[in-house]
Amino acid sequence: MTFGDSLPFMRCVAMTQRKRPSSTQSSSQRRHTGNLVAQDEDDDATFTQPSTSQVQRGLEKLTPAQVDQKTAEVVQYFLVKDQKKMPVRRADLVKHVVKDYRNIYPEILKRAARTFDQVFGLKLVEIDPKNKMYILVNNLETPDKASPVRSPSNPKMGLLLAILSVIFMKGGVVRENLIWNTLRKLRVDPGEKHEEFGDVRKMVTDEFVRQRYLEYVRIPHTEPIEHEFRWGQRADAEVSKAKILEFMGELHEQDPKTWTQQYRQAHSLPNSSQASTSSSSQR
Amino acid sequence: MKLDLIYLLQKDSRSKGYQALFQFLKEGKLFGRILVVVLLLLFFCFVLGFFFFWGGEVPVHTSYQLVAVMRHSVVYQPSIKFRRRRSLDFHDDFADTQLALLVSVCLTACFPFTKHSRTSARVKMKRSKGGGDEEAPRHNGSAGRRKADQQQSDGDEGGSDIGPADLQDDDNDQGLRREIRSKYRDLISSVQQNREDMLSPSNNKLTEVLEEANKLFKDVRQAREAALDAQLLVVATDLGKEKASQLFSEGTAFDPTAFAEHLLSFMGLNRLEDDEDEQQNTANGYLPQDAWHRLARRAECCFRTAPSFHYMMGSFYAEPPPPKQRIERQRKAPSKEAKRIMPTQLKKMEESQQEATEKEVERILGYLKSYYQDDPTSPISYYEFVIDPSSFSRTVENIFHTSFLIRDGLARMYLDEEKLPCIAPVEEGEVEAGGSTSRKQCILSISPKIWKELIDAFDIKDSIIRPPNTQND
Repeated sequence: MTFGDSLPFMRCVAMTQRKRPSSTQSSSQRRHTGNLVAQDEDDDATFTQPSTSQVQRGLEKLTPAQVDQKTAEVVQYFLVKDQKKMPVRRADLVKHVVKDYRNIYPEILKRAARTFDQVFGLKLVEIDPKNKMYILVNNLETPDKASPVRSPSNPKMGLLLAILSVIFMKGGVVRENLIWNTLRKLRVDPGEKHEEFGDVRKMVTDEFVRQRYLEYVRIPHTEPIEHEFRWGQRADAEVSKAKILEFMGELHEQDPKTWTQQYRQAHSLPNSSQASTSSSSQR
Repeated sequence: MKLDLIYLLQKDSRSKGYQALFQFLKEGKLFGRILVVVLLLLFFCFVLGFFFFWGGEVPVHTSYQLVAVMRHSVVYQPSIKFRRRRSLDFHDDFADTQLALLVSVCLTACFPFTKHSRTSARVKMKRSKGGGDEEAPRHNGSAGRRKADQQQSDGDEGGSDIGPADLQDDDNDQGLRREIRSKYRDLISSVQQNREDMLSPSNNKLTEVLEEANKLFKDVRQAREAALDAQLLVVATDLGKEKASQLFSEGTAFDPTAFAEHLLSFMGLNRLEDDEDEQQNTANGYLPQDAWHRLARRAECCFRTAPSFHYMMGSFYAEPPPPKQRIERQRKAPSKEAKRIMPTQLKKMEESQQEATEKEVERILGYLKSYYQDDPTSPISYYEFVIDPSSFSRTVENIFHTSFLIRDGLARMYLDEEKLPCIAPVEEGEVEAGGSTSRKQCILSISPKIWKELIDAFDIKDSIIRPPNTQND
């Protein structure tokens, strides 16, 4: 069954409730979380990863100019969506931008990743293989000192750095009370409205979590309910643990190697930036 | 116990007497019991004898009273009379009644005995069971035991001897279990509340809790306490896991408090010089405005964030509010002018409405006079005067205005020799003497057809009354 034949079938399926076409190959592997919007879930359910032969056939039907145009649209979509640092869902991408070019989706994505790398110096990273989410990460080496360019800095990043450092130094998992206490010592009270950050609690537990900088999970069997913080997927991709350890050494005026555990963790992976696999390796 | 049959018979609350009798029969001395039974039998024979061997009419009320005592449910019916039976003739009126009465009396006499025997048998059965384990209908064996104890307490000498010691044991059991449960609950709540305390590696509180739980578990017999024990274990193991993860970190420990202090200095905290109250942690200096920005800039080194996309020249700058105001003002101005214009126009119209008729009438009078002065002798034909050959409506208007002239006495209409109407202006002198002249009224009607016929008949080419030049602007 060619892809073109199955397209109207999949459209019909998308309109009915959650019927999975049994003939498609990857539908059995798909397990959806409750986070996704139902409509997007249906789209995602019906979106199958076209095989290379299908992609080849699709490319033959289109002109190079069309493919380039579509690639440029995808690049623009990513750039604008990345302003808020929210990860981009594949379902959204396909629904809003790729649309009819679904059959050559892998090719489009590959070309977009190449554009990002060559033109912008950014890396397209798949942070969630299950839900197919992508973020953009800076591919260039970070400067050792603060950059000479005086661009306006976001104070939230400072707060985020403090939180991530604490979590990292404490072994990767921290109870929320510890974070709140530390913040209070830094004159940021989660209970009150901060003049710069506003609702601190909401920012930390909601915004940072949605941006995938932090993970906020519930500890089981606790009464009253408590949560713990971990590093999020974006933090794993973007933040360098070695650099954080360096910063710690600066602050405490100690050699970073004195924290042996953390040092080992920071330098264990081959590249200390700890970027996850790029999106071009899509099964 | 003395037998007092009369007392029994005469007692008001007959059920009590009835019970008392059978109490006696049950528990009294053997001789007394036999005596009572014999007497009762004699009594019944006596009653039966009344029916069978006496003949005549028996005062029913007596026998009924006797029976009612025994049964205490028969309705007192004095009207029924019994007759002696010589032969068993059941077709008599009262035969059925007699027989029924007889049978019911016998049954009633037997029934309480049988009932009592049944209850007594049951009591005996219960007594025998009470000693053993009656657990089947109860979920607590001790409860069954307790119930048997109660039954035995009612009947004193009979039954097996369990005694008060067993009762206390049951209560103890219940109390003990309650105690165990409450202790477990205390342990669970202590673990949950003092979590921080137990986590610190300096003490062994968690171990102590577990030892306590072990001790309590020895007395646990039922599932309910075991479930609580399991819950406590779950909570304790969670805590244990956390404690273990604490041990995981080796090397220099990380103190968040010290970290916070260092961070504050990094951010440029200006500590106050007088450090009088060191206990007060808050407001120990003030942070500069760009404190967090400083940290953010340092964070840029550690983060590989993609620079966010924005237009170099910014987006377009829209200014919707001012134009709206201008438009509003402009709109307001024309409306005011329009209002000003409107009244003047209206005034003009009002004027014309009121005085147009008068002007017209005067104008027509002028025409009439001038036409009359041209030739005072020849009469002016009315039709020629009013009809406008070009417009029917103008003709009607002329007739209308001319009628005003005639009403005001400024013109007069008369019929000439050919009986055609003619009109002539009235001299002013004539009007003064016109008190004697009577005024007549008539109604003219004209239709376009008549109008055309008049034009043809009188051959009217021109209108005498010129149409008004200035009417509406």
